[in-house]
Amino acid sequence: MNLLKLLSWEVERVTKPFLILVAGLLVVQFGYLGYFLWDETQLYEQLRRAGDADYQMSFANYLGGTAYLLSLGIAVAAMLLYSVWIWYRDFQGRGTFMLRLLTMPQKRMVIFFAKLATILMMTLGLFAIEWIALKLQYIAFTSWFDGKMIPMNGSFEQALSSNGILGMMYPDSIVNFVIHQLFIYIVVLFIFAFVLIERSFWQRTIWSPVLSLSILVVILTIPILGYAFLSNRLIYDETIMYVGVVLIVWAGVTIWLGRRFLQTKLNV
Amino acid sequence: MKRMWNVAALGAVIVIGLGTFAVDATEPKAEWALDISSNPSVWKDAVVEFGYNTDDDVSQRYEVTSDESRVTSDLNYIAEGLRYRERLKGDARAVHRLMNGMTYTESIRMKDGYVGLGQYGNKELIIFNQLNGKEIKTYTFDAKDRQIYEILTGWWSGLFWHKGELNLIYRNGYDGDETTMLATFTQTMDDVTVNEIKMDNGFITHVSGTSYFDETSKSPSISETRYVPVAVNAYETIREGDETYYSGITMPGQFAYDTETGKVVQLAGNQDFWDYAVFENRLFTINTDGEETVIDLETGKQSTRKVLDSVNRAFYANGRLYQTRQVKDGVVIDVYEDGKQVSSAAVTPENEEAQAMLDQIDVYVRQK
Repeated sequence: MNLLKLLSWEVERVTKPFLILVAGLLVVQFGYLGYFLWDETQLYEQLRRAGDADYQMSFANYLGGTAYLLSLGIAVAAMLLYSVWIWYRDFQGRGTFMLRLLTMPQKRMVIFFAKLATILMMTLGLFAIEWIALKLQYIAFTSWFDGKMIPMNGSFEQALSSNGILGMMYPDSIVNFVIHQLFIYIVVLFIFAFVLIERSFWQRTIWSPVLSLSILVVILTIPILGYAFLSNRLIYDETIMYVGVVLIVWAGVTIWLGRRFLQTKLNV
Repeated sequence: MKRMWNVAALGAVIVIGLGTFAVDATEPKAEWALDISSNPSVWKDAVVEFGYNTDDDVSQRYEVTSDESRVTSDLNYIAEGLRYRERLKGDARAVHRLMNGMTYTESIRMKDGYVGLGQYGNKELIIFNQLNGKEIKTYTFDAKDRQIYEILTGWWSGLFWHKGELNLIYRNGYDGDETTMLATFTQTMDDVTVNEIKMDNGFITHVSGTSYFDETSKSPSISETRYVPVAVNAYETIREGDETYYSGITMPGQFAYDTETGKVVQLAGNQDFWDYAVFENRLFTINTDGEETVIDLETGKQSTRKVLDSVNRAFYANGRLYQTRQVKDGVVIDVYEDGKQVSSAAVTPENEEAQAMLDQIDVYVRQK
């Protein structure tokens, strides 16, 4: 079975949960937008009657709302959980499913990359849907307040860049967008490595996740401690280079660990 | 085959959503040109910097030279690193590396490197001196010494170099009880003497030529002169019933610390100045009437000349006076040297994005 077939198969398995997540996100966000518009209009009308309506609405106020931020947090948590579940699911029921996968006549790393590509597509899909949703929310926001003759300030881009999370999700530059995506995939690679190491220990006791986690914590903290030691000696351009090298090393080591445990150590 | 439709559908969503994002991405697209009307040699090493700032949009910064126009704000990490590397060359890199862990620093740029002071919290005072633009010599004073502790906890106004020694002007106290102090570090950098600078009114807030924090882009500092230009502030006491308030004001005029008498003297009269700058041992000032006063910092002699008919927005950079004014199709920059106009150029928009921001830009000129 080639990578594309495995990928389509993985994507098919995740389609329903993914659609539920997307639907939930959109319901929460548009529901909250409706409440926000109604509530702010009421407040503004009260102030207008009292002669104190001297402030302007900003899209950034809506984006900073708890419900909106919570919806993003839930999406992030769901993606992280699914990165774990995409492997553990195959070990359910005495691991017969994983056994079938591992005994198929393809290199085992094809399974690894198919799962990674699935997470990648889901993440990019969420980013894409959220971008379109944001655009629609902005249109609804401006149309509503325009209709009510309530003054607004700030542009769509300004509102996004002033929001910490959205500023990271949709940065000003495409290159930074790609770099932020790489960060996300490195987190996913760490999760994959954790599962594969943990599943590879013969005696699966409480110690296997602890040991697996310890190995990854060491890999994660060595460059961070290195930076703490070097930070006073590195200037800005050198720091960027250091971070770049660390990201490459993290990606390389986690893929190597995944490959090693998947091909030679994994037990079902 | 049926399963492939799921991948294709998700792929299509990604392409549409992120395609829209890629098209909308806020990377600034404005392009500018520097049209030089006269004397192009003035602009050979000049970079015109300007920022676009409005309440309703993301701030942007640009640089334009006679050869190119480029964005300098919100660069991606790689471009930002390359730009930093390009601007921070040679001797400045070593100084920045030294300043990295310090909680506060001030420095002055000499002809062959940087001299300055830094602090690690309120625990250590570091004096550093870069020799021949390369090696940096440092000496650390421990804050257990009461005199050092008082320097560390004082408000640092700035540095100057005199008779081969580094001097720090700082102040202690607040709300009208300020005392201006002078700390002189010996040539061997391992000892310091502290004296009070007696002032009739106010306290020194700034010493010309000082770079604050890790700013190292200033031109080399003046060589030793008798008068060191300083800015002086004072507090007005306002009494309302039993309550007393203090309101800080910048004293009008140009002041200098006289290294011979140890006093602060007023070099130019009680008037507001648009800008002032020190270049080759002379202090240049331009007032709101367009009159330029040039003061010799060795002798204190001064001369005044009419340079501008009216002041729109004027500033000094690298010994030249620049006056900018908005016109319909750009920002005109007139350049004056020794009281005479030596060149004129204009920053003009090259596309619609630039045209739209034209009336919201503030122009400044620096040397490469």
